[in-house]
Amino acid sequence: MTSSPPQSSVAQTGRWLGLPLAMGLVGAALCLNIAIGAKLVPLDVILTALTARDPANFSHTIIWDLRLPRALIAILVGASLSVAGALMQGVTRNPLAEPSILGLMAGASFAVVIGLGLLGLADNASIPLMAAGGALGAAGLVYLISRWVPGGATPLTLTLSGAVVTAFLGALTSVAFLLRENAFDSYRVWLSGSLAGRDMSLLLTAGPLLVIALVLSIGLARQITALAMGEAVAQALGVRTFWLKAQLLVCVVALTAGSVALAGPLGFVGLVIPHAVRLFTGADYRWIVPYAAVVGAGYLLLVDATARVLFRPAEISTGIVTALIGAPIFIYLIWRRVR
Amino acid sequence: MKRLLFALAIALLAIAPAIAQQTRTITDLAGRSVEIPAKPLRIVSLHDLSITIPLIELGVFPVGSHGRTTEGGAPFIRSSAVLTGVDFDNSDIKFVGNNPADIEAISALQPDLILTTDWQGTPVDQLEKIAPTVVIRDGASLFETYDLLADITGTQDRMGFLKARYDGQIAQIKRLIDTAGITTSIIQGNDGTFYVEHTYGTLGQVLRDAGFKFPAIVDAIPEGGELYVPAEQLPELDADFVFATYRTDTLETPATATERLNAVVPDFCQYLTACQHNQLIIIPREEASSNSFYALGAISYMIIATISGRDFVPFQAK
Repeated sequence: MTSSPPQSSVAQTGRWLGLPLAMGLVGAALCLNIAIGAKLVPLDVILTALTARDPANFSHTIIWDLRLPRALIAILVGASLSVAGALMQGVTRNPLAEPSILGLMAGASFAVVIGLGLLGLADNASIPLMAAGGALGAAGLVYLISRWVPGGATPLTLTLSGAVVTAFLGALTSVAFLLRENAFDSYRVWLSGSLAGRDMSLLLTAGPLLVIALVLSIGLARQITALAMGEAVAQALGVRTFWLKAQLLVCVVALTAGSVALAGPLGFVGLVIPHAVRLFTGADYRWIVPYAAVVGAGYLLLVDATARVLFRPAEISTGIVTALIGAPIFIYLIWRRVR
Repeated sequence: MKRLLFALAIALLAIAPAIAQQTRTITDLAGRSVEIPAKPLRIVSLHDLSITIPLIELGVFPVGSHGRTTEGGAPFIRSSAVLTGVDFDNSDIKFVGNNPADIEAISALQPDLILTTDWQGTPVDQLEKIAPTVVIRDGASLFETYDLLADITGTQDRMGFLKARYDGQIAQIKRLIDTAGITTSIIQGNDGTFYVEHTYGTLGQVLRDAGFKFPAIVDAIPEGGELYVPAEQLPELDADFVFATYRTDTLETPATATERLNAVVPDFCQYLTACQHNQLIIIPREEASSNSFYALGAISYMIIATISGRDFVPFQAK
């Protein structure tokens, strides 16, 4: 009988301890997100607002109706996109995989724009469904294109197919904008990926979808580790790979669709966070997935706070900041692979 | 006599091209020197609100204009139906696209002058290959635009009458209202923020020319500039009278304006003194934000009707 190496045991303990610590940091990021904004709200007023809200006090309204719902969306969307990215990287064994790069986000956005602007499907229940349909369609298209090209579905062909589908759907969205300028005018900011002024009632439909998908993803994490080692290895370990992939596809589509419905397309979150998390957790998806959820939530809280104060009093779309951070990391990852 | 007339006709024919091609150099509102025809006859406008409507008010009908399209795809000159009565369907003005405008449609009209703005996506260097192109800077004031257009089209007399009428309207407001003692603000709900401009179209122009005061956050915007004010700063936009607008060309109503404001801050009205005391005035955006002397007159009358001779609760900054 052999005992585990002490180093591994230390790492394991570190991961267990790290998770509550990361959650604590997310709590701190939440406090920061609520505490800062365009208007300076003193700490004592924030505490009073949280404990004894006065509806006539505008500072209390800022905390309850503007900052808290926005922070809640940041937590949900940050966690969801990060987990979606981690799942996609595990399944495709492609370090560049994430919802925006593989075209899912463009598919979800395109479907929502067409559904709202052309078909007039404006009720909140249908928005996540439209986004899910679009994400699923785009995922299928990307997969088919990458399978069809010589060499099959390699990380490179998947990434290129994702870029092609994103560009194609972006062009179709532009055509729709040109044809019906007035109908689409109100979606311009949403399409840049923004947490400002989101319809909070959407949380009632998209929120539960995201929570369920997150829980299911964490439940499937153990099997992803096996799948990430290769299909043959996973099958040898008793994993029903086809069934697992189908479940993961549902999770990724739901996580992307709910996020797009809530905040528009926020690029690169699903790329940056899983890679950052792996530096601490290693390649074990039992840890990558929950850590991605927690760190992703904290990341988007901080990014959103930055977007609000960077050019004060004006604020920029959160999606612009995620892209500014994510694009260099994307380039770095490509450079590392090529090298 | 016949010989004399024949010689005269020949002489006229000989100098006609010279007359047609007589040019002069102007400085446009982007600071560019442009050689333009002395009397342009075939003008294409590449912005409906900023250029086409002022041209029509000056009595000059362009041969082609930028425009918008309805949901059914029919082109229209934005706001022109209510401001001038002239549109594509009741005039000879041809639709040349939206943004970017259709370069081939412009070329087909054989213009001798193109007027564009830096908002328009069709590159100026391409337009210049068709005809001399004058650029009107995005954010140029109404009077800067009119002065330049009147100069280009030789309609300074008409411009003089329009300006005199407007001066009379402003004098009327000043006579009836103590404008220096009243603050005003113009807000528009826009995707989680409040959209404000230093001078919001004709409404802002009349309010500033009449001497009304604006909140510090609005005065801090550079002239011709705009700002998306975060929802949290709503109280900084409060004033004695607050104006909001809605689009009539898309069949919006005053309720649409308040819905948009509520979407930015739920129950926004209870945090604005003006709104609490029924001093929130909601008007159509066509008259409020266009480049039009007709709109200046309509806005002047609206201000007299809604503010003069009435009691109001003054806003007091906290």
